Amino acid sequence: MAGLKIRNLKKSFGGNAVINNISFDVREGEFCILLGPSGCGKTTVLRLIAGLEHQDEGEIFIGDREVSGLTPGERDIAMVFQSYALYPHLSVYENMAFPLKIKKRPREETDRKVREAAGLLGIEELLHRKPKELSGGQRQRVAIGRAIVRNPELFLFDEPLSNLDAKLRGSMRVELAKLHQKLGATMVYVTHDQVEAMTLGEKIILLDRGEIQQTGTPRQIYEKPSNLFVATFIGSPPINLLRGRIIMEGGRIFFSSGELLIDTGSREELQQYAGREVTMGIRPESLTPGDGPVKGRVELVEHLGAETLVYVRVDGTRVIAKASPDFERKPGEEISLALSDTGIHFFCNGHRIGRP
Amino acid sequence: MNRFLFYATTFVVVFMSLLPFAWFLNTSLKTPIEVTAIPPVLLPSGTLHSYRSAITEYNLLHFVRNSVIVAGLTTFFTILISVFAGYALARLRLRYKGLIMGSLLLVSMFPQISIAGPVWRILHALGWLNTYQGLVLPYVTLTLPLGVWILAVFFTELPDELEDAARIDGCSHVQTLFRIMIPLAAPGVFTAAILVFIYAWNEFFFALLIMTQQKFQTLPVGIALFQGQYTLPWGEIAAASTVATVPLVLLVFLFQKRIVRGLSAGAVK
Repeated sequence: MAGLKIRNLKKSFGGNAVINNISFDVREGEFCILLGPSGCGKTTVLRLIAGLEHQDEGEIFIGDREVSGLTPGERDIAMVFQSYALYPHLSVYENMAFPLKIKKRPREETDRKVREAAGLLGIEELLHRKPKELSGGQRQRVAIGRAIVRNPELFLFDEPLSNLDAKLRGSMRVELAKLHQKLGATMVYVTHDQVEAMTLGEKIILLDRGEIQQTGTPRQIYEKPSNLFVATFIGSPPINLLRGRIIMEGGRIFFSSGELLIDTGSREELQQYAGREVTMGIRPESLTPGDGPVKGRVELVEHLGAETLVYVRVDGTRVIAKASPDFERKPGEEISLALSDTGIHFFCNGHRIGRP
Repeated sequence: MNRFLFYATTFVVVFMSLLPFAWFLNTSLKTPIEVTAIPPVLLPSGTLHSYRSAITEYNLLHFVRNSVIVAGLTTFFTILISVFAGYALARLRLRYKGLIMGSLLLVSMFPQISIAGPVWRILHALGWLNTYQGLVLPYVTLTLPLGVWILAVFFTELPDELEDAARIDGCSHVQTLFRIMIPLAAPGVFTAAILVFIYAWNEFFFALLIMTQQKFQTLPVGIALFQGQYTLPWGEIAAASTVATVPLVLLVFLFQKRIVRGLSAGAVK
């Protein structure tokens, strides 16, 4: 087991910069998520770490070893693929034993490790089947098993759950988290699914257009988004955005957008933006029906069981508010919404205002 | 009505292609008198006289042996080279890949007669006339495009992630090819092998040109030369033709499923 250090990584395909100067660290034993929309370069970063592609510039350290010149086999990593990539002509046992067989390990050792991993994943009864006789969830376990038997320095996961149905994905997510606790291994996990990222990750690296947008714990990323992209990418339903400007009046700071005038209280960091265009972001859970400054008309009410989403038209913009399950209102009715203290962010030119 | 047309057409086609085969199978089981009887005898008396005579008088097994050697070696070398070439063309980021595949196809379209002269001169210069390698070399050359095409298509269709997985598991390129890709492309390998074998087994023109001594002649040439200046041993020719055909039929029946999969690869995803 070892940590991972990425320094100034650059990669372009046919003149298109896919990875643009990326650096980050993953501690030993850390579960690190590379998150981003499709085409953001996250899979390319993973393939560079694996050695399946070669970077144009930059260094990759696994532990203290610079691995750029090594083949994938020499890097001592294991990778779990989206399509599982099990060898169709080999049985489950042979699939899991394959990496050890290539390394010419003694047969007893191979056998012991395969059975250990199979026990850990609960797939002992499947060892003599072929991959085509397995369900998606079982195939995924075998793919993870093939990674575990090697006891690698680093585990790489490339969207491993995205081919599973929603229910199975939920339970596999829990199992992956447990597995990480049990093995204590360093893992780098690529996904576009923010739920996976928020629940699994100790550290999230959010990528867009080949650049790191923000690095932090799931809470840091959700509670202190460093720019508009991060704020809108994370959170479901998405954050509400209102465009307006900052106005100073009688020593107080207001956000003004059309007919809307919101008292921001004592947010000192906004002072220097007085008179400038800013964007206000309000998380839906920070916007609740009640006596408050935001007034509009109900467009739609969605009862989700545990909570209710209220779509409100405010001054030409649609915002989403969260209400309690017993909330009842008809479309077209007037409504006023109250703001809570947290979950409100201001951005100027796309960047967060205030301390990161 | 459509069904009737379908079966009627199928019957006519099958009947027409099987008729010659049925006729020489029938002839091979006739006595020398029955063979030339007029009107023709439809039901042979079932004697194996022609087979015995073809073997003892006309050295049939000797020609079979030569054909097995030539067709076997041709298949082995063609498939060996095709596997490497097909894999490279399917997987490596090569420039002018389309051009290479296109020129392979082009080469296979040359009429044999147009290259017969140069081939003969080259083999003559090498001293390879009347040697096994003298026939295997042009056969391999002529069957390579077919083999490369079939295998390149097969390798292209195998998922890239399998190869990535193999490399991460520590395989070199050659190990990946032999442990993962070839087992998965087995239907393609079988199809290519059988088609190449059939070509080499049946080929007449080059065999006639290059093998002038009986010692090295293959079956098609051997059978053609059964005929003497004054004799035409119909029974023995029919028997030898049966012996030449049956192995191919068996081969195809045996691997029928795989060949169908191989030939229709890429047609439906």
